[in-house]
Amino acid sequence: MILLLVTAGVAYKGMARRWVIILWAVSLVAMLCMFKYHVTSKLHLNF
Amino acid sequence: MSSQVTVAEPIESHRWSTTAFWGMVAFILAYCFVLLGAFSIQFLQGEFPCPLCMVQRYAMILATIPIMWIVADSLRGTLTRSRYAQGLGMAIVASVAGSLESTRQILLHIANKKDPGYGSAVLGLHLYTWAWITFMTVILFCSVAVAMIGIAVPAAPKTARLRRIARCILWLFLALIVANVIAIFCLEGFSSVLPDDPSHYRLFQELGW
Repeated sequence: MILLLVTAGVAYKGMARRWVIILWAVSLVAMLCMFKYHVTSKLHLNF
Repeated sequence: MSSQVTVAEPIESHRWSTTAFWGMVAFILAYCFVLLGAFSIQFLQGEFPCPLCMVQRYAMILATIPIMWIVADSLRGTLTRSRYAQGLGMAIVASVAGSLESTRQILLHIANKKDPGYGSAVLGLHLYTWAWITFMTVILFCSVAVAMIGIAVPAAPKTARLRRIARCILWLFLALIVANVIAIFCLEGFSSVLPDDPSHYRLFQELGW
């Protein structure tokens, strides 16, 4: 969440485009890793 | 005989550019209301957000940051068409990730027929289902904005009062991220992850309050 705050601050301040994109991409990967960590059970569903 | 190369320039409309700007501001405001709604359920109704709920809040913030970037750049007068397209693309990617997370949580509670769902329902739907609806809305909204990129790139208003309103909404969004940082710190305490089924604020317990 702190990473998101830093990303938002950098975007608001209008710093270099690559920093906004790098921080945003790192935040996205961190979020997906956190999601993977919290998904512990297998769903018994048939599609 | 001379050969001429003509490049088709997009026909921009001032009215559409102003509409696009306020559309982006409305996007940020809408997610501010969603985050405030989540806070009201957390603090007024005393329900603790589960880790998957928090991850969906991250996705909402992650989808709103590129839009905030667009609005801030537009206010500075540095917004280009490519940067606008980039911001919309980033918002779509974050929303797709968020919708995967909410779909997973919806299916988790559908899989077990006796499962009443996590937390209380709002207007008949649980919060993770509402989250999924917001992510789908963002994907649709950004797709329409991309389709209209030829005629509308957000243009900030010239009036100081209107610019101040847009800036206040950006500050509200930033304040909500700060509030989320504090809320998650209170929930997690000194641990790096949230408990699976939170029932209290771990930080207060760890500090002996």
